[in-house]
Amino acid sequence: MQASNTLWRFRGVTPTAMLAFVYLYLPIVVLVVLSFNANRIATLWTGFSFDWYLKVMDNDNILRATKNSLIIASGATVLATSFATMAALAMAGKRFRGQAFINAMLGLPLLVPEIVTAVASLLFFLALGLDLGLLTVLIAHTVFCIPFAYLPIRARLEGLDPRLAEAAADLYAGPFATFRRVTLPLILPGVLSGAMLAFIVSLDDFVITFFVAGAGATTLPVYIFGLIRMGITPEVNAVSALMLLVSIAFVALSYWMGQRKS
Amino acid sequence: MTGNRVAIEIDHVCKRFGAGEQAVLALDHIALDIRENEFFTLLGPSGCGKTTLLRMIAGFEDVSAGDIRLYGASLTGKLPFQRPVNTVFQSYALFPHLTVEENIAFGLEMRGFKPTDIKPIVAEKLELVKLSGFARRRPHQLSGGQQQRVALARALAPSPRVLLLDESLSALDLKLRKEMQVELKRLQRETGITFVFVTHDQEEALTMSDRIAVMSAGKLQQVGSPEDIYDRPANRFVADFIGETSFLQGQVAEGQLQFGAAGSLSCQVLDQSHDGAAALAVRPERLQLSVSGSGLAGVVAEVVYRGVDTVYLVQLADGQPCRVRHTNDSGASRLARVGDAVRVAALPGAFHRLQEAGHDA
Amino acid sequence: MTLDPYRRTRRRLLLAPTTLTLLLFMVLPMLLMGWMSLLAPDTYGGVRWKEWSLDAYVQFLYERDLDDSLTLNSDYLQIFGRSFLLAGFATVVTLLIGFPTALYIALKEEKTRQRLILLISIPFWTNLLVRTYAWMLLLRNGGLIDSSLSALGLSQGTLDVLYTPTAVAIGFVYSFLPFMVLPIYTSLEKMDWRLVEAAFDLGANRWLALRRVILPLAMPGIVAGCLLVFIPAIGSYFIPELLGGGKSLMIGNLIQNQFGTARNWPFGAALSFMLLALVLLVMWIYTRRFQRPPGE
Repeated sequence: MQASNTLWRFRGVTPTAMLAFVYLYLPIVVLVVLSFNANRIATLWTGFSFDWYLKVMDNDNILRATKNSLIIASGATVLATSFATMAALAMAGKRFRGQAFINAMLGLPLLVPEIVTAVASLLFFLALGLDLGLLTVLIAHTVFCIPFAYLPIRARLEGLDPRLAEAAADLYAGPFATFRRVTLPLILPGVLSGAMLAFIVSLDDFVITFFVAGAGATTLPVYIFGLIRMGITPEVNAVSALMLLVSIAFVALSYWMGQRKS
Repeated sequence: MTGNRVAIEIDHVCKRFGAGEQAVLALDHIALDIRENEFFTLLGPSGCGKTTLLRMIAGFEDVSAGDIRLYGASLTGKLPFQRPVNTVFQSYALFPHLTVEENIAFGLEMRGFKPTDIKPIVAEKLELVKLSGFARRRPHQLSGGQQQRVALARALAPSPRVLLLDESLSALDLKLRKEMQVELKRLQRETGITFVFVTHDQEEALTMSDRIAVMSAGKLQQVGSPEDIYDRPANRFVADFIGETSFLQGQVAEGQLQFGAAGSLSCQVLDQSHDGAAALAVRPERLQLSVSGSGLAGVVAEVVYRGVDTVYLVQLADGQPCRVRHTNDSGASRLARVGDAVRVAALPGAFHRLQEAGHDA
Repeated sequence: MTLDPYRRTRRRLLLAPTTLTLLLFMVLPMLLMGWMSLLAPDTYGGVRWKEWSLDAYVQFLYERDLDDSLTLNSDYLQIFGRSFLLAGFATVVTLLIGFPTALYIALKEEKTRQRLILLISIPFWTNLLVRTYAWMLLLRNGGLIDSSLSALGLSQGTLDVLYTPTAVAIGFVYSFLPFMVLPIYTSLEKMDWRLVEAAFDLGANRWLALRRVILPLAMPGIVAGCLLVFIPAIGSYFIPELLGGGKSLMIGNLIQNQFGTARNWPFGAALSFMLLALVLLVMWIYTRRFQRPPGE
């Protein structure tokens, strides 16, 4: 409606926006295209090939790293989403003392630069005498996944009529029955999108994992980083392209789900 | 069909919000009994504490002091899901993800009824609220009036000892509201359940209730039948809040009501036990206007035509304003125009002497 | 149980897992980090727990000569300064690109808007490491940009931009552009466009309407966007590592170095602590002026 009106055509806005979209997608497109390049020199196009993907699928290290990534992302997602759901339920109730403090604490993992969180976690685990491995990574991921899971659930609860839970209690439903039969079904889209965000964020994390992973718990991004540092190769292109596609698929899925629910 | 057993006993209940210096007393020592099988209404302007009181009965608010008893047993310490009372919420609060029949079955399920027992009860309640064909619909597919009926059926299904209704009709338009008023009264008669109804609409309260409690600023102003409340308001607030009222200052002496320069009327005061200054309340429909008859002298200040009737605002000769209502049963003929000198006479018993004589509160 | 104690108990139980997790694994580690920055380093990494020392902070500004005298050393200050400049530059450029982009999207039809926002969000949620790597492919000598430029005859010799601060700046702008567009779009979307119509009606031209009405109303989004770009940029580690080429270009690299080759934990902790203080200072100024942090 507004776009059709010439009044609203601000000079330079359209070209800048076009530039922004090209800028955002050019590297992604180039990476995906080059991952199908037959040539051993990764940036020189000589022909189409699927070989590098086959090589990636055949690489034990990559498979192991993928498995670690999935284990950690699943674990962190389940823990963070459960904790965040509980916290969101409490925060949605009557105001209470200390609420601002808990809010600030929930904002902390989003606010503090990753490298600081990484250093602090590393020093903490070492001071405790914990061996760096899957457990330390799982703990660190759960921590920074909580706010990502929390925000959509909290937003969903914000739009929920508090009278519905009261009506359930009025009709003899105890706290668990109220949650299972009324609250959860109604906030489920928020919980799912929170879980999805937590999963993507965990899957994508590099800096914190890099610090607290130790040798046994290499995740896919950490492994890719190692490969990149050794040089640009077609295998890196292929595994990077795969990683991108998985993330894009997830975002599209969560978008589609959000569309359907509303 | 009002029994004499007390269903709910509200025993000097107080509600304090906040603490220390900023504490607000939302309910101030409310004491009243609600009898079995009666249609009891809590009436008052918004913020008077009536909804808070209802929520305390349902268990959504704690009692700061005092006690609420249901058939003699204290409700203190009982959580909402442990109380055999059900609520019809102002916004209905129907579960949007459940169908109409699932909504109605909810309370029965939670009480552990078997599915085979639930079905006939749900069908019966749907019939009661005349929604039998709507069992599989979702709440958002229903009109406001239908949602209202579902909310009623849902609250009635577990056969509560007391049904609480929180401003339940205020979301409906005028016509539908009138229909539902009759409907609610019928449901209450048929089910024989005690209804506690909260409203700010005095007409609604007068229409439906067996008894009314008028509240203001956290205090109970008067409890009584609609006739009591309308004809014998306990104080200025009740007289003002219910119906139209003119307040006049007069002098009672020797069976006469004197209004200074306006003249006097004889023996029109309900309570004339003692002489002296009197704060008086009078309903506009109990006064009569004439151009040449007897009565208090005054001048018409304004004429408001309202279809069924016309209201004349008369400035009495002693300076006090008063309203007179004239029914237009013989067409819209005007008795007087603005500026006309008129006489105001009163029907027997028109003037009600207010308790706080001399105070202008 | 009466209602208020019941609610209190319920609330405590519900909050316990999150509160304990964050206190134990986020707040406590930060405090520990602060403490460790005040200890003396052990020879092969680690700290001497009982030996208090301010060396980590002294080291930031001074160099200890062989005769134990201190001379001013601006190396680390330069790294902080460079980090500031690069992050600030990235913030300004993303704002210059991001605001028109957000405005462009906000002026579209509802359906188109949603699709364009999805397009902006996809890079936001995809792996940053991999997207940074894509820029290595583009910027390297013999890469797409280099070879296109020489093919068009626009450049002699090689591009030589990878492994320079310029490459880092390009990477920052690319990586954090969605962080700028999304909050600005959110505030523009909430805006009442009739206000702009009113401005036109009152005789404002497009430029004046933009400057006097749209910009002030979009200000909360702009400020939030600037923070969301600046904070991760200044603490960034692998973008300067990959695009800037291994030199200790920014704070992040310097910190990582203390846990890698340099093995100076207290210094690493002190650097992290200073970075944290810097970010909290920026946030404090922000909340003082704009009330609520962007996380809410």
